[in-house]
Amino acid sequence: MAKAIRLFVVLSGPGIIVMLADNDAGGITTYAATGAKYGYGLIWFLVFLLPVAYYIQEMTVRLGAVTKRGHAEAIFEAFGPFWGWFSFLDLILVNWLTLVTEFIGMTAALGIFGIPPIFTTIGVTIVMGLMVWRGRYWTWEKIAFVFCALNLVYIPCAFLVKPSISDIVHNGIIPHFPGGFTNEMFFFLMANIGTTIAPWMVFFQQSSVVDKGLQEKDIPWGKMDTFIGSIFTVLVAVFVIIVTGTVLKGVNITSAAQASEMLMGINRYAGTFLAIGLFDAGFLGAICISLAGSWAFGEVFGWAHSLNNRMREAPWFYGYYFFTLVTAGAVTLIPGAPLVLITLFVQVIAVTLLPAILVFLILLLNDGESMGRFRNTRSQNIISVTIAVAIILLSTLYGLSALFPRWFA
Amino acid sequence: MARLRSILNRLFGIFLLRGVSSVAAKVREINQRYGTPRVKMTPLVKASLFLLRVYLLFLVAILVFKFWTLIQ
Repeated sequence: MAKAIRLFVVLSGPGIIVMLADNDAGGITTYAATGAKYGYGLIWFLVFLLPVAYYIQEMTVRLGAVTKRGHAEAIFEAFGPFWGWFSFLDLILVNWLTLVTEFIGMTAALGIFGIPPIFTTIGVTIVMGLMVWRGRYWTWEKIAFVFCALNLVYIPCAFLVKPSISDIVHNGIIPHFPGGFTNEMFFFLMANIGTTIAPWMVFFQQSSVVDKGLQEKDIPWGKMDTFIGSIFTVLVAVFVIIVTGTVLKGVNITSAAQASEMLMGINRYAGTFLAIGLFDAGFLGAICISLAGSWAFGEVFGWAHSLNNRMREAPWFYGYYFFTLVTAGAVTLIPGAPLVLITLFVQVIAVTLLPAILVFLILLLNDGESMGRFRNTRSQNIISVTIAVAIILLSTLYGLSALFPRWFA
Repeated sequence: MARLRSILNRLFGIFLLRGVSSVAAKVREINQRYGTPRVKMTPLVKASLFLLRVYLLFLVAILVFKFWTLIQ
């Protein structure tokens, strides 16, 4: 048993990190707004998202461990240059835009404590630079784990606001739609699904599995890592909903930073925890998104692209990493920058990439030639195709509702 | 001053040209390397890729429509 735990500690990482990073600044805002709007009423829905996240991400573990290739390279190799360039360029664009939204979240969170955005941006870039400075994947992963642990700050935060356990059980566990299935409810459901699976997650975890050096024999551990990560991601989402559902029910929330400020007036510690959690969420999102892009960049162009390389050994990999960080951070510092428009763009561009990524993922997992005995079984195909079709339909509707809100009014 | 500017312009032009041509050469190399898709093009794979193209064209049409309504 002790040996198994030790082995899990060594082999875990990509799954837990990607799942907790999934609760990025945008995700926390969505959960905070959901709790404030419907109280505990949609907690049951988040539990449904656990298998959704697990089944999609688990496929990247098998694909990475068996093929030893990142997702960008796998698409180029399997489907040719047209789909390769489409996925790569779309990923680069959507990652950069998402990175901007992470910086918006981080600067807003630390802004609550009076820290100017420029200090936040410079500080974050320096810390992220130090994380990769040693040129060791292991070092990066352990530091990332510290920030993952900080993401659980929402759990003590929820206890601080003293929620009613019986209310949570009565209103949160039994599936129902509080106030009926309205258009607004549908929008909230779509937003919550939209935050569950993002294109960068697929690219990040597969490349991360390859960089960590997981082998075929490690796949069960990788799956467990992903499963535990998906439990954490749902747990964090549920506790954010409990916090805002207890204290801010009936309030229209537009950002998690706004929720933190309002919470500060009611319970100073809870508001502080929420703000720290928001900063951490943005930071986790930023470290994973910037790396997902750098790995893809290196894979496609055939340049050294490992966190085990030192900076002088992989200049393009680290150059791209810092380039995206600095440019995305700089955008948030421009006075009057169209940040709302950028957030809208993220939703729309992600919709163009997500269906393609899910289709490629399932097709690659059915390629017996490269996957061998690790290819999808019939039951895995039924589950993954059902999830993919549902996500494609709902994310398309979400993208359309962002573009044409009147159609859904 | 004008001479210095002209030298700088020329140098910048050379670097830009070199940069663009080296990127273009790299893109050509990548296209050549992955020229033949490795996945067997079964009817299911062909149908999936076809549907994906249709879906993307639909999205492009929607975005063009949005742009058109914005400038109206």
